[in-house]
Amino acid sequence: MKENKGPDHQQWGIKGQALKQQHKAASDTFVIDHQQAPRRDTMVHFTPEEKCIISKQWGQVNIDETGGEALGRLLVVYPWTQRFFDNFGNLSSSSAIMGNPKVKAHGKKVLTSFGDAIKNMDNLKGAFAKLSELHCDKLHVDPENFKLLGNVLVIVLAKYFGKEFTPQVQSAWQKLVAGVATALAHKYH
Amino acid sequence: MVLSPADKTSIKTAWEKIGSHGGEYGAEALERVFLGFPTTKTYFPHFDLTHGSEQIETHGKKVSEALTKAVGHLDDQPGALSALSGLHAHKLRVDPVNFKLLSHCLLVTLANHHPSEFTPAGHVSLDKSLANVSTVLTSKYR
Repeated sequence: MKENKGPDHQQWGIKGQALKQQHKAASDTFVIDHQQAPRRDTMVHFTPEEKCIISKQWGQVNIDETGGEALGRLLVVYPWTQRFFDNFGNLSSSSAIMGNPKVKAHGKKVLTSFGDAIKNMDNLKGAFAKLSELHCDKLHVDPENFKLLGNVLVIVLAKYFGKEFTPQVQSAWQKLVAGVATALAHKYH
Repeated sequence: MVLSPADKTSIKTAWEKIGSHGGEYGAEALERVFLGFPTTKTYFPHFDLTHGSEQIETHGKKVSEALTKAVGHLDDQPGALSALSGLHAHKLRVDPVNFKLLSHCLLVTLANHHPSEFTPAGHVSLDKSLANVSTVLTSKYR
């Protein structure tokens, strides 16, 4: 029977490795902290290949149009999201929404910000800290909406990229949108 | 979610466009869900999940056929899908969150193969329809 001198580093090291293999595709890994029991590191990790394909495709995205398309579709497909845009004018039909200049402008703003995520894929939480506070304290947006928009964006990209938008490529984008959604929710209280 | 007459027309039109590609799209949606949302693989430990796997192809066809049936009975999905509903509730017990994930990947697949037809109006009709099917399939869970 071992004396209890705190975590058995050898044992946790091996366990940590085995778990790392299992959860390779997931965004969670276990961090071995010598002060306390292993805790979850919820930072998203992107492989070099994932970073490469995302950056490459982002370079081909028309920010002006894609932003408006994604935000517009969010408002059409999930009409309850219109609650945040009372001052946007005519949102009465699908064509009104998609053609609405305020929707297009705001979509562009949102997508430009997304571009910042792509420049900071190793530190999404840091990159979005201020925006997270804003969305909580001033805008009062339920973080569920970030997931909805992220998935709509993936669909718009799938439409645009056709054959290049393979399942593997989609998986990289899903990681990114999930990471952005989490980062935007991180400062909520 | 209530489907308007416009929704129903939209859905039926979309399904006609899919034509004979149903099985292929079903398999592709499955592949997308396994790669994009790895937790979904936990329901298929007995499957070969590599690209082009026969099991995924067969299962994709099954999923597609069930959806075709659902589309053919938009006014009575609980009736038409009763057996599948029971299967998912009592035998498969797939956590409800996963239906959203597969529905999303089905939409991605359709948007990918039919970009010009995947209009915002069509998108919302299909999303509603898949949500309805998901609700029916989880309706007997408890």
